[in-house]
Order: sequence, then C-alpha cells, then structure tokens
Amino acid sequence: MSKKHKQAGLNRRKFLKAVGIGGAAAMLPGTVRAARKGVELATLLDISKCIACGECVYACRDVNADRYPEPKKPYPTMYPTGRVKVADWSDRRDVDDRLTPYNWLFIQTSAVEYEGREYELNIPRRCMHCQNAPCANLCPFGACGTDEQGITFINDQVCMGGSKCRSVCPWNVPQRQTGVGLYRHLLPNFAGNGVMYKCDRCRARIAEGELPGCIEACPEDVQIIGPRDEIVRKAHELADSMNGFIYGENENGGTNTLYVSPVPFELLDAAADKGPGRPHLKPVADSMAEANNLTEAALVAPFAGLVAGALGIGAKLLADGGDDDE
Amino acid sequence: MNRTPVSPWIGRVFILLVAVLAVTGMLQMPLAKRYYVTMVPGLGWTGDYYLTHVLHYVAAIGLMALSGYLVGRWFAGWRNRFRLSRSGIVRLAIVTALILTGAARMYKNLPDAAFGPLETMLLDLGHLGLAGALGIAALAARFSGSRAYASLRGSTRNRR
Repeated sequence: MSKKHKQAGLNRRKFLKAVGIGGAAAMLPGTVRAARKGVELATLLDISKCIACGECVYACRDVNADRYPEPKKPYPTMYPTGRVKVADWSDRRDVDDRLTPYNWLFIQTSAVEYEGREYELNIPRRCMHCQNAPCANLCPFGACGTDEQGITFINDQVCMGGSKCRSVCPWNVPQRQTGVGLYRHLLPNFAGNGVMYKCDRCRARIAEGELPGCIEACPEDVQIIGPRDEIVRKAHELADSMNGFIYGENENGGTNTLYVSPVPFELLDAAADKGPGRPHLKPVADSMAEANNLTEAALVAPFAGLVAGALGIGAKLLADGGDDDE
Repeated sequence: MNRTPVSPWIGRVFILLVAVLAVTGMLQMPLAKRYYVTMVPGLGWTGDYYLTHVLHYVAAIGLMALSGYLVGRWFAGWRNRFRLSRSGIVRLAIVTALILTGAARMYKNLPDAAFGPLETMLLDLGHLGLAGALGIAALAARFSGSRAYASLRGSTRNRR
C-alpha cells in the first residue's frame, strides 16, 4: 500500500467506534472497505427528517474550530482600494444562518405547499462536493483539490483568497476571510485577499477513520455516508418510498451530496432565503462539459498535425523554407 | 533563400497562439476584475473564467496541432537541411514542457481522472513557472539577436 493510501486509509476499529456513537444508520455497509480503497463516497440527506435542531452546525464548529482563520489586524491596504473589499468575518463568528469562513454548514428552511399539504423543510447546506468540481479544476494555484474519496477541499496554506472558486462554484459556496494565508507573505497590497473556506466533509476525520462531525452528531440520522453507487441507489429507493425528489445526483455533472425531499426542489428553491452564503436549489448543468469536450479534440490535434507535417500537407501553401530554400 | 524552415505564416500563427495562451493564462488568475480590465469597453469577457478557460483550451489545441505539424515536417526532411539554434532548443524545451503540463492539467479536469491534489498543485505551479520562463527566454532571444529557432546547416548565423 502506498504512503498516500496509508494516509487516506481508514482504521476500521475507529470508524466502527464512531459509527457506534453516531448510529449505525449513518454508514452504509462496505463504507469502510470502500474508503480504504479510495472509492468515491457520497452522502445522502433525507430532509424530511431534519428538525433544524442545529446539532450538525454546532458539531461542525466544534470539529473545525482549530482550523478557523485567526487574521492579524490591521489588514494590509489592498490596491486598487476602491475595487478590493476586505472580507472580515472574524468579529461575526457567531453568524450561523449562512455560510461564512467560520460557518461551513447552515440550515436553510423552506415553507411550501405541495399537493394540498403544508411543509416546512429544513435543508442542511454546505459544499456539494461535485464529482468534477470546477473550483478544483479552475483554481490557478492548485489550492483547491479533490481527493479519491470524492471530497473537494481547499488547502489553506496555498490559497490566495482570490475567490475564483466561489465565482465558478454553481452554488457560490466558498467564503473568504481577509488577513490570513500566503498572500500576506507575497504581495499583500497587490495580489490575493486572504483564504477561502468551506466544508471538506471532515477529510482529516475520515482519514483517521471517523465520521464527519455533522453526520456523527445528528440525532435524527438525517445523513448517511457510503460508496456513491450505493448512496444513489438508496436515494432512489427513498425517493420512491415517499414519491419524492432527488437533488445533487446529476447537478453540475453529479455531486457527492444527494438530497431527497418529499416536495419538488423548485418549490423549495423558490421559498428559500437565498443570496450571498445562502445557496440555491436550482438545476445546474455540467460546468465543465464544454472544456471536457475540447479535451477530446486536444487528444487528436497533435497527431493530426504530426501526420499532416510528415506528409508535407500544406507545405506549398505555407511556402515554408524547407521546400523553397533555393 | 530562406535561412529558417518556418514560413512567415507559421510564425504569425505561432505568435498569435502563444499570445492568446499568455493572455488567457494570465486571466485564469483573478486579476481582470480587480484591475478594472473588465471595465474597458469590449473587454468585459476577461472576467468570465469559463470563457477564458475555453479560449485557453482552444488556443492550446491549436498550438498542439501546430507543434505536431512542425515535428512532422522536421522529421520528414527539415532536419537534414536545418539545425536548431541553442536559444531555439531552450525555448522548444520550455514549450514542450508547457504543452505536457498543460495537457496533463486538461486530463486532470476530466471526470474520473486519477490525479492527486498534490500532483495537481505542482502541475499548476509548474505550468505557471514555465510560462514565465518562456517569456524570459523569448525576451533573451529577441535582445541577443538569436530569434530563429533553426537555421540552415553550415550557416554561421543564428547558432546561438
């Protein structure tokens, strides 16, 4: 087993111990084995169960408290001053009704009427952990990455806080804190603006064989985690059982966070309080589809050029020196 | 008599592709909006990360096709009549490394590509560093008077 696999591998005893505390329903059979093999893991959230008790939010804060930014003030002046805004949440750490650098999970509530019945549904919102995450694909510094277990994460040692990840995220999930990170040691006045923060589905805990904090703490077993194909199957079974709907299976080309609701997500989206730090629930096309189609062309291009060059195609037209050197 | 195997048209296409790649590559960093480039009439697109990414891909495909063509021409005959200059070898090595790191990054962006986060970060930083190195090498070649990548065998010019 490679070092990488060893680091990412799960300790079965620890994992089972954690599952024992959190409830066996939190983990599908085979999850430990799948995680050890580096199989993509996904989560399934049955939002009909969520009572908005906030235990997941508190657990997220407890588990990640030592990873929250501790910015140094005063912040360097960033130029152009009229263009670059300071994003400072360090004095508002208790905000828990939206995503912030200090709150990577919040509960969104939608009150809707569907088929003559009133519903008030609570939706734990965090990073969707896309299967082909644009934030990880488009970060120019490789600060945002995806791992073999289907987790999208931000390396706070490398991130410059440019917030490109938030711009390309269909849900605008990552949140910026100014005054921390690598940019302060490079050109703090002219490039960068802190570090972006978001849920990494407790990557370090999974590597240690523990469940993500939000799953472990949930008293209602809203969430389960397991190999993605099993989670998708479970999501369909659950949706069928309640004549419900799934969000996240195909959004943005597929995510590793699947929500199941008894009412259509269009209604939940329309009723939800949305805006900065409060993601929508709209359908999302695959953000990387165009680029991926071009990659297929890129496979052909050098070989087509090579053959054309070897056959001298276009040499006369281009009148290159190799043919008219005398 | 041409002293270089590459026609002016190929040279122009190469310069155009490298220029598009340099600009769209720079625009992968969050600079355009911060530094008011998006406010310039006609340059609003510079702040669209998906568009600049696709443009970068398109120019990269063009560069790979052109590179393949030139390699094909080289082995089909040019190599018997021309020799690469020293500065040409340096720049070709950098361009080759840029193409390889860029192609690896394109592969990484595909769904299900097996690429670790550390390798991805090294690729990104390597690609960025190589782009800077190509710019420096191009300027050095320009100001040292050894602009040509290749010259006629036996010629005393452009061996540097």
